[in-house]
Amino acid sequence: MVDSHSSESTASLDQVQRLERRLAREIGARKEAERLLEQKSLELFALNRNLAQLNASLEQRVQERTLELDRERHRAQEQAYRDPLTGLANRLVLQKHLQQAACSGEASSNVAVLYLDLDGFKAVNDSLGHPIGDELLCAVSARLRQCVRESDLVARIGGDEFVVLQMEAPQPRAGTDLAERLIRAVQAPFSIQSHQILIGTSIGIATASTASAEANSMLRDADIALYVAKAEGRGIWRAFEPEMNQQMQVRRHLEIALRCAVAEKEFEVFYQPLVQADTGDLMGFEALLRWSHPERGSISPAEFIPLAEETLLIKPLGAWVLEKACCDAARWPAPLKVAINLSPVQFVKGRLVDEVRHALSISGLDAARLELEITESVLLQNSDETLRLLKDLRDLGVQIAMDDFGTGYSSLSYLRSFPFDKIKIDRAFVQNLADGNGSLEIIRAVIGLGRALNMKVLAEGVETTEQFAALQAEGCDEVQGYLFSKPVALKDAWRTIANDQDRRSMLRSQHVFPQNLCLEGSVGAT
Amino acid sequence: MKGRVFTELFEHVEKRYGADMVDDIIDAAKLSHDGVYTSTGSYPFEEMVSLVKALVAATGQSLPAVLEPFGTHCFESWVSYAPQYFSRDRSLFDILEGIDEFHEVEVRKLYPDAELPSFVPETRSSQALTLGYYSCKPLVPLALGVIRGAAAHVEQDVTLTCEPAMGPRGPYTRIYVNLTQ
Repeated sequence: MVDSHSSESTASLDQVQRLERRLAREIGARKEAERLLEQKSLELFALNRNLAQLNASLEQRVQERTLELDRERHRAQEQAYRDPLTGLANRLVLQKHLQQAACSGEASSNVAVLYLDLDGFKAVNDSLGHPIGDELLCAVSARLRQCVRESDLVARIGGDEFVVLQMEAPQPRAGTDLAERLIRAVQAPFSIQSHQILIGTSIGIATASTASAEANSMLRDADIALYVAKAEGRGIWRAFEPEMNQQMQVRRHLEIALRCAVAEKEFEVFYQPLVQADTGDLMGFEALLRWSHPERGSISPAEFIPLAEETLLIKPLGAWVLEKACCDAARWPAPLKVAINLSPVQFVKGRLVDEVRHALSISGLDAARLELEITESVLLQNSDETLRLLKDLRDLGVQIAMDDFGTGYSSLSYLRSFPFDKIKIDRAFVQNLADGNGSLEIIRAVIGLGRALNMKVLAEGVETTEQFAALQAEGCDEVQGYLFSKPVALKDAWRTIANDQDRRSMLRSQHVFPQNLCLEGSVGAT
Repeated sequence: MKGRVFTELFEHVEKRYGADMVDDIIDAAKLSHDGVYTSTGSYPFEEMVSLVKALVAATGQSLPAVLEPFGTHCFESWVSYAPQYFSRDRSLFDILEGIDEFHEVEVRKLYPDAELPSFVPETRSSQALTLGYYSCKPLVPLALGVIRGAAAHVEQDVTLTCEPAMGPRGPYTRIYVNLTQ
């Protein structure tokens, strides 16, 4: 009993101890859990504080970034409204001001838009380089600014294009006065690095009274007036007139038609005979371009050639004429030659020499039978380069003639600068022969000059037998004009050739040496 | 090792072998703190080794025989904690492939610093799934127990085999789970 009792109590004791230990474990775990909880609370508190600090510093960074962004935006706006080179206002600002001016009602009648384009700037840029060109633009900008009042706006809106917006000034007088001042300011020599530079400016003016006072139309009208100013001789101003717009429209339509014509090959080459003055023999023909518009009919070269030059369409057109005329001439009996006019534009950065070589090669025409006519305006531009081109052409074996001599500057130094084969006296002198106003003396002098320099002399525009007789008497080498034939189509040129050959063979059979003989038949060949 | 594993072990041992067994293995393991564990605390893995060894000694069973049921217990506790991951509508393979997501999303919330094992599916067909078992602790039988727990959960009979393997992350164990129904 005692043993059983004692073993039961031992078991109970053991159980109690186990329970006590379990309880101790549970209490220990709870305390440990509380400690961990406190530790986590502290960590949470620290995290919270860190979070608050992080938040504050983020707020501060956001503020700083916002400020930075504002500054950048402001800078970007400044840049967006300024021409970076000159610091002048740009087109955007100009548009804004124009719109404001247009909206200001009565005040808009006191606004003038002056559109400036520098004359001769491109040549400076090309010959002296862009850095000098840029400096020049800055110097021009400074002068323009000096000419205007605080309330006016000067903007640069293109390479060498500026616009002055004159505000609150009695128009049109104030605008034209300002244009005069601007022209004088730009005309004065510029000293850039070691270069003395002379340029000019042409100005188109539009005022609310002439334009429709809309921002865009004022600028457009000023641009049109500028175009007219440039066309009329540069270095001048022109105020917009509504007719100018119509002229522009006409010109625009003509340009479109011309582009189509080049693509559609609406052109034809006509030929006008060149006649030996003393024998009356046919020497060749001058090739003359004709445009036959499908609706408007024949369009004058005086109308479309300047436009073709301006739009550079003369380049493909000129190349085509070269090819066509050489091919036609190659079929004519030798030594009949063909004279072809070259435009100054064909001398600028083109492939003129290659084109001539190509025309000769595909036509098989002897180079000696090709005569290229240039006007002195060719020599006016970048003459070193032009002379090199002329020498290259001469090296091909072609003849070079100076056309329209006596008009323009007629500088004798041009005749010295290049050994021309022929001088063509302008028609104006021939037509005024009978007036006794010195034309005869000039023709005589030019013929003498030609002899002295070993250049043939041809007189253009011979219309009467009196003129022809006078020219023969002066010893002129060749003549050309309506007296012999107007420019004719190729098939009629062939008839002229046939008549000339008949006449020559007849003369040979009669052993008669003709004097004062016109090209019989060729006059009536048209 | 997180205290939660120790408390789970005690719960499992108490359920399977009785409360006294818990006292006995704590005594036998000669722990410095008399077996006081809280789930969020961290404790040396060696203490778990000592406890399991004590359990092996006390029950006379092999180590895998002791660890596997514990793995099954662990799976059951996950089911009760986050049943949405272990819906019986899902297939066994889907559940097994979802264990890592459960670990990373649910377990990580409570125990951000826990060293969690990973079950990476390698190949799967209608009848067989190959899992890569990655753990920094040598507890493959525990992983097998987890898989058996999952199989039992969806009433799916399986056979499990495993082999050591080597991958870009180092050595791991490849477990083949084959359906037998």
